[in-house]
Amino acid sequence: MREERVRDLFAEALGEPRQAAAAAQRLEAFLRLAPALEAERQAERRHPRGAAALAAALAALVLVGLLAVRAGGDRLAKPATAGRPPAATTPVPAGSPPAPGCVPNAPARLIVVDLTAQRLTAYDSGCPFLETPVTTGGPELPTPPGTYHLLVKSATWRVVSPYPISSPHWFPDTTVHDYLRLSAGGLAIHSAEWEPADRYGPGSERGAYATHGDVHVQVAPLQRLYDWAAIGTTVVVRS
Amino acid sequence: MTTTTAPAEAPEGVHDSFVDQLQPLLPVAHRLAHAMLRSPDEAEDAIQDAILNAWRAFGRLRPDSAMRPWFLTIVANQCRQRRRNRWWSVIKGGELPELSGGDPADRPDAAGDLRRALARLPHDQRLAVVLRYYLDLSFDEVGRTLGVSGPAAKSRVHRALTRLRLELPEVPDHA
Repeated sequence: MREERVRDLFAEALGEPRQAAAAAQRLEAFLRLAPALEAERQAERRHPRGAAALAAALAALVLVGLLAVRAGGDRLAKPATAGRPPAATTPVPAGSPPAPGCVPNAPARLIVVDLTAQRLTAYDSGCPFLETPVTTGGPELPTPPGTYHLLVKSATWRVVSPYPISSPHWFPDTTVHDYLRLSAGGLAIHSAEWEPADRYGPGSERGAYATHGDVHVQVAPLQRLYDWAAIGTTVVVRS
Repeated sequence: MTTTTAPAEAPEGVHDSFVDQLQPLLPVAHRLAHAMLRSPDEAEDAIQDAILNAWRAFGRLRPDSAMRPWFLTIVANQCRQRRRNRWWSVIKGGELPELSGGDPADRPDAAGDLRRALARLPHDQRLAVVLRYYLDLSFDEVGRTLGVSGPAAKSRVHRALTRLRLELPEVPDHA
């Protein structure tokens, strides 16, 4: 058998990766994030869990880093938030009354997380496509408001505590699903299988299921959100 | 939030160079993972892990090293790791096809037979034939990806083809 025939046979047997372009886009976003992700992993690895003093020092470092990161995030976010798409309550220009709750001039896909209402609304072509209660960061580790863009989609993600075991913020390694990464610093929307469905919504950020800054969404609506959202989708987090 | 927090030892600009050099390799890496793992999610996860490993090792990469075989080696190692951790890989492998003589390529489901037969090959042999016949690499580059010489890569490819029952009468040396 000639080599070309073998090559054809391999091409036929193995096919091509499905949705290669979308995958390439995700992988490229990941490539750009790699150093930040690796720095996070190293920070986790460096604190030996037994050595309390070192752990405390590192916790301080991580906290300072997070604060700096958040301050930076806010700073960066400001120009963007100034021009962010108007909220659903914006008066609609007369003559072209869109459906109630629609946002004029919105991008094709837009996600708004309202921290006060603990509610996430996804707008498809400017009209609400999905509304669901969320749980965000508590008073000590609040979710930073700002405008973000979806960087990485991952069906599963292992969340590892950046806080040492001696910290009140420490949590065990946890696998979550439908992970939507919004910033290199770590902000993400993801599942929280341990949180009962009736706990989401107003006030939940001050309750027992308050997050470490991420946005938790119930499993079923999150699946719809995950399937619909695309790399680059704008996500506005507002207080 | 911060965007490019490089490790402390990485000098300025290293990340840009890393991105610039790896980005063109993502499609070929994706095809390799696709062929080795046969699962879109697993393939993407394998490449994400490979990217992190590559970034860790990037500082130690000699300037004259060829990026493509270097990165494909890392991707292949991740694929091996994932298959090893996958309890259902045995089930997915399926049965060896019934072969009844003649040119295997002429049978109706030759592609399906090959797919199943590939799944039964040991990792190193499957990798060798995938690199050669699915990614179209030269024997020399197959060798560099496998960490062996060109001729050694060629004989590994041939052993794999024999196991797949796709005999080649002759393969030009310069290919």
